[in-house]
Amino acid sequence: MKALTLAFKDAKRLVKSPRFIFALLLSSFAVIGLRILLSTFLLQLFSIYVARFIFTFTLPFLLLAILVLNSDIMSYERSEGTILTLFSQPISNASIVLGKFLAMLSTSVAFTSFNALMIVMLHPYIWETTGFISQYQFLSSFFFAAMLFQLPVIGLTLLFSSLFKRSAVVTILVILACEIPAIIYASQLMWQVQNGAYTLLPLHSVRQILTMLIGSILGYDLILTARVFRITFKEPEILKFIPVNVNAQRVYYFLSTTNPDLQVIDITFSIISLIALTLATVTISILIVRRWRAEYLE
Amino acid sequence: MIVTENLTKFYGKLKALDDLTINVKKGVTGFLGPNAAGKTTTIKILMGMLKPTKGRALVLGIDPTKKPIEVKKKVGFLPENPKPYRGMSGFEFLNFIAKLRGLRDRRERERQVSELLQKVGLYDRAKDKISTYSRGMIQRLAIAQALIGDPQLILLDEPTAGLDPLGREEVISLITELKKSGKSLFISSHILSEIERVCERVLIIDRGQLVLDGNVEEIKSQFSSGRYKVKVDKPDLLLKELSQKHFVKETWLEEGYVLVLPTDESEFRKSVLEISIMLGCEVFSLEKERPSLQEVFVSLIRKRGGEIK
Repeated sequence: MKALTLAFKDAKRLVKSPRFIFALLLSSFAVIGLRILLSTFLLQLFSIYVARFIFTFTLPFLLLAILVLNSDIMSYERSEGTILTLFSQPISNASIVLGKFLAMLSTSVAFTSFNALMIVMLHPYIWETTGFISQYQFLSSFFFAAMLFQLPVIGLTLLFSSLFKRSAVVTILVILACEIPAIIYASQLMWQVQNGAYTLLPLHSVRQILTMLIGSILGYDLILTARVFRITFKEPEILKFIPVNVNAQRVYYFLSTTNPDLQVIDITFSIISLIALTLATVTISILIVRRWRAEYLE
Repeated sequence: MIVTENLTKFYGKLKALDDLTINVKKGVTGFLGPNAAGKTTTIKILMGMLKPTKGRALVLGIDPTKKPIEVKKKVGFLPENPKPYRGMSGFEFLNFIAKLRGLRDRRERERQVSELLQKVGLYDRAKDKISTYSRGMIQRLAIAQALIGDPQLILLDEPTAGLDPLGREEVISLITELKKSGKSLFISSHILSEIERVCERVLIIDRGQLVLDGNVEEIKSQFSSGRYKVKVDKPDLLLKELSQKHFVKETWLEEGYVLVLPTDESEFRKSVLEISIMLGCEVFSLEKERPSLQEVFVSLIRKRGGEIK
């Protein structure tokens, strides 16, 4: 209950923040793609591929928007001294961190819902087909994937915001924390595609399992999308499997099948690793707040 | 209300509290001491915000080290230099704190918040952002947050620190009102003239140790020099006469007053009026000189070899 109170307070602060509009624009990057697509004039200037490319960036930009909006979620309490107000109230460290987490999650849900709606609306225009996945399935898979991949980003933002006061430092560190494992994963994926061994579960060796573990944590990101998208142009057959992003598709499989095949194991593996990372970042953040409390009061 | 037994706190090698044992009963109690005496450390331990190195504390019968959230629910607390959320309005801030303190019923919460805003004189500015408030207004708002939930006991840590004379006066009159309404207050301060005005009892600590504990009036009598000030129209005459009396040890003139240090106070009190009448002096006033709390405090701390900053 107290965590919800805090979450509501922070969500209101985020909405009132001048960065909110910027984040909303950032997260609504798909709309720009639509504008290009629907405008004949603009289409003459920009190719359909540009529009598709921009649209494919929807989820990464959504993640970036959440990051930009929330990068000072913990640090402002310290820099403005308001953390003392919280420490003097009957609220535990866990509730403080959970409240912050829920505030970020609420903005994520709002932004994702908006994007999901945009994707449903734009799907036929972008992919020139409506037959591949029904809009309902697409919406659920997108929403589920987007939320799943936002959880660790929220967790990492919470963690780095607890450690560093400057929003810019937090933003860079979260991006790096997402990029490094994703680069490894994307390289692996590209290698598989180029060698005709594209599977959703590259369990060929221990190294690949480890790569998958790291990659799954934050497998979806800007570079991954760009690389996968590049692959789709070379391998048009793959296009239909990658409607928005690889992970959304993987989550879709997870949702649509009960067969205990490798894909399901893969997805389960991803989900567990993403949730585990989120829980780890939240737990570490609670320990940091506990340390703050001790430092502040002594 | 508050009990501490051999409370000791170390910050590294620095001993902030040294076997502090106090017993605070209902009423308004001042908690005095020079800077770095251990006042804020004690208050933070009482609020469950710090753990003592040794000893224990009980606040309203609850051990704040074991149940800090319980203590925070039952005790109102004004921290030194409060920092409310400046982007919120006064109403929003109090409403937020009320929610954190467990006031779930919206109507009751809003009623209480409005009442408190009226009490601290911020009702007209309730919807304005806190960033537009003066320091005194922020302090009053912080006192209002300490009153949420109608706590039995309120701990105020340096309630007038950093305020201008007007702000101080506002806060002191608010504390006086709280005293009248029967609240128990534990006020930490080093501004003694203010404490003297509102407190019935004071505890003085120095370097983490309790130096003095008692009723304000009793302490003043205890530390009285025993001198009397007599204001008459013919001070020279009275001075000459009194200096010859056996019950007077010393007498002198100061700023038109006859100052007398008697050896026998009751004999002096009985005789001084008779002597004045006999001499044809008109007596305007007769009073026993009593030290201010400030004087008691300074003398005590100096005796212990401490510094007053």
